[in-house]
Amino acid sequence: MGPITTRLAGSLRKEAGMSGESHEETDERPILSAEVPTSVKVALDEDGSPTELQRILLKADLGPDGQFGEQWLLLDDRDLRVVERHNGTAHVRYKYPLDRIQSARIERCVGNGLLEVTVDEQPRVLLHYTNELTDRFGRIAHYLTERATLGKDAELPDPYAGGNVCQVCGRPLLDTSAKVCPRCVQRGKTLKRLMQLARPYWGSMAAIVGLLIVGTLLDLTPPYLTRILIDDVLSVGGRPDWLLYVVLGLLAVRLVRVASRVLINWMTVNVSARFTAGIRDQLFSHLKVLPIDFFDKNQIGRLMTRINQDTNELQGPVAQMTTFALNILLVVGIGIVLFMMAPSLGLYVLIPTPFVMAATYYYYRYMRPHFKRMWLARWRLNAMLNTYLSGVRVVKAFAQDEMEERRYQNRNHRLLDTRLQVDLAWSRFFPLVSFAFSVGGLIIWYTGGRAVIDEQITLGTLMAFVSYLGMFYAPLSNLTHISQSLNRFATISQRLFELMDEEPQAQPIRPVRKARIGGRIEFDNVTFGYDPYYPVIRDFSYTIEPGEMVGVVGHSGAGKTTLVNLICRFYDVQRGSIRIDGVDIRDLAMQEIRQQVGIVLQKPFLFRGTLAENIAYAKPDATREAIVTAAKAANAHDFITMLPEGYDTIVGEGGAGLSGGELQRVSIARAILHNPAILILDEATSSVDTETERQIQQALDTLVQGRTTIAIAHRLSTLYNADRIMVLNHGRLAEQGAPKELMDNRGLFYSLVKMQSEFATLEGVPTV
Amino acid sequence: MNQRTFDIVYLEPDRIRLQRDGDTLRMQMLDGPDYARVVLRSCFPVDDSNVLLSVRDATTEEQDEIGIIRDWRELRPEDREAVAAEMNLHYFVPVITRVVDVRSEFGFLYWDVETDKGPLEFTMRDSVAHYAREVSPTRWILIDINQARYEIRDLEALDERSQRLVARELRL
Repeated sequence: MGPITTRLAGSLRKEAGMSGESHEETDERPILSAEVPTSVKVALDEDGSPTELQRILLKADLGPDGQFGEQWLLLDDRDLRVVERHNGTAHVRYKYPLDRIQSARIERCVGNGLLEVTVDEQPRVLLHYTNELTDRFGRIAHYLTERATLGKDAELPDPYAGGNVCQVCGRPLLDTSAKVCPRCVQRGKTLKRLMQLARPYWGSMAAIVGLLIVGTLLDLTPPYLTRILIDDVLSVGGRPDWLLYVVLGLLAVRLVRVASRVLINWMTVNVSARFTAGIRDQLFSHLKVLPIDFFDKNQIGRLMTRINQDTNELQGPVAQMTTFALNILLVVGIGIVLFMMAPSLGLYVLIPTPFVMAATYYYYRYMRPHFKRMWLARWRLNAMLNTYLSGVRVVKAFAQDEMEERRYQNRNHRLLDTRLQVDLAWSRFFPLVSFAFSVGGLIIWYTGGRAVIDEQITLGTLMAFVSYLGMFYAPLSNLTHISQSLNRFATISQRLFELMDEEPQAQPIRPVRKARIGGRIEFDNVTFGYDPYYPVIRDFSYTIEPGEMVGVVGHSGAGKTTLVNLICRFYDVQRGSIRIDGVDIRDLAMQEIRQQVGIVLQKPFLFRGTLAENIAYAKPDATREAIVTAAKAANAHDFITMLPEGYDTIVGEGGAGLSGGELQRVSIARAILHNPAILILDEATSSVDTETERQIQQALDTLVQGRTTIAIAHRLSTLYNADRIMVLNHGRLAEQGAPKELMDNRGLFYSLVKMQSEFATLEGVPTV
Repeated sequence: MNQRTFDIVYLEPDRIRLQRDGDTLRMQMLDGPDYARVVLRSCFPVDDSNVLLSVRDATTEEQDEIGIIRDWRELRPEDREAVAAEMNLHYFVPVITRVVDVRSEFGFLYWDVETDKGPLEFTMRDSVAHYAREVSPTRWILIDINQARYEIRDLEALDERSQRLVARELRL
């Protein structure tokens, strides 16, 4: 899809990279007009938009009829136009003056998206495009909205900047968490970088290579000794007195060989394991400086794979490399020996070589799909069992055991089928491969046998030859798929390097440090969206005074939690600024923010460890007295002391064994010990029952003393002691004031409270 | 705060008029308001896209539902035409008619196919479990790296080579 636009994106990127700074000043330059078909140019020219006034031209790849097609979006200095090109002719479909466009947005459809503008209060759909182009049209929509909001021309976007295209070839990037597509991974360069990382092990690696050479020479010796045994010792008129020496020689070679093998294996394992462990350390230490949105963009599962599994997989190839080296040495060494012993026979050895290589190649081609099929069937069976076991209560409650059993049986039979297919394929294939291997031996037996009969070579030479041959084909077949392994190796390494190269979160150049934060928070015209084209917070301004407790209410999706994320600087605002004590938080040292801002989340998270360790998470050097004091203040002390192991109780990731309310009180104790100037309560009591809520609320009342507190709440009753309340609606401040004022005003807050008390009356619970 | 009801509102075919103005779909209710732009969402886009079609007001922040059309084949011909055109644009799911080639490389499948909407190439992650949906043993939906969808409506209706390639890559 859209091969043309894709290529353009690539070329533009390179251009932008080369011209560097100057690219910023090219506002007047029409973007990509050179690639526009003549018919479109003519149509635009006739419509009064000459090329020199055009500023952005962007191609959409769907036609108005919902088929693949071509439409162009043009912005010049005054108007927006949509041009359709069909069968070589082009015509203008829409034309709107930019000044009359009030807003613009993109909308996701299925398999495509659309661009909509609002002109004179009327929504107008302009065109559809496939998903690949979403970013580009999103930028245009953003620009048009900005322009309308500002009332003057906004900064012109580069629709192609930073798109998900490979930085080398410009093709669309498949793995959006990567920067270079697998095809463009420069294997040489990657391997070189890997070698640099392996620097501490260069000595050991050289030793391994040396040992490998010795080992190869040793491998070549036994057949040679066998030849002496047959020709010079056991033959008629030979030297029977040599027998013991030759056999002892063979024993010695074998012993040394065993010793060298053990040494090589030990060293290889050692180097590869240490090497990958080192990489894992590096990756994790890099991970901790990455911004939160990196973790949003990358699924936990995929990151886990990269850090744990990819590094493990790296270990395999590192060890394999020595096997490959050994194989190359063997093939070359044996080849030389064979030709030296009997040049004519040596040539015959080469005859089955293509068969062996072909057999290996087809093995991978033929067997792989069968294996994959079996893995998939096994995965499906496991997934089903997993779902069944975790949902067994539901299954039983709805009496669906029979259905689940049938489902399991189906999948089990599928696995059985694939398993049989694999075995069948293997049983057909394996004899063929061994046949290809054995043909070489038969050729040698025949031609060599003839040579022995004709007395051209001795029987010992033939026997040695046959032994060497056995050692020759296995490494050869191994070498056939070396490129496959190398590719995989390079791709994995590249992925790891990308993670290492990921930009850490921007840190202030000269961070402002403050001994103690007062706790004044100012939002100044803040606009932010996780996706820049879908702002969640819009033009938000508000000031919270030190020591004040402010409640934040609004529907889910109104932007409450986003506000919190911005204060913690998990994300940076797109427009406007947030100031703490008058300093832009982007100028504050990150450490400073995290130390002065404490947060209690809706779902408390406890790490694996003791309760004491969890309470002291932010202050590992806290005394036992301090921990107990904090727990007491958090209303957690009593239940903790009742536990058989008290503060030494081990809790898991989910805090197994403790109730939701207990966990929450532990996390409040953690926040109390942390002692921040600014405290954020993100629906801290929303997942517990009323009685527990009361206990948590008591704990919180202690906690908020003397701090600036921002409390997000679903249950409005928890905000009874807030100084002020702000009501958010679709990312904007809808209402604010003291709770009483808001109730008197009978606005949004009033209706929310009323709705909740109606529900509460139903439940029979008294509220505010 | 708009009070939402919990009852489904059905739109009767003779009480509504749908009409496309360029790429914008409008709806007038004979005994109610005019909507400058509506969007259509099929409740069962995979199972049967003809029934239970949700009509939503595109001008509201959350595209509030106006009502549901039980079966849009029962609409007046003009309305039906407008709905068909809109559905065709909203659900852009090319139906694969022939598989020219599939290449597997570095964990991705590169498909080169012919569809009812023209020839195209797309790329999906080589993970059948997550990116290929089995509707029935012969009907599949493939999801590419851009979350675009492609449908194999009847595997057995494809030519032999296409069937073989699909069977190989979807591990049938």
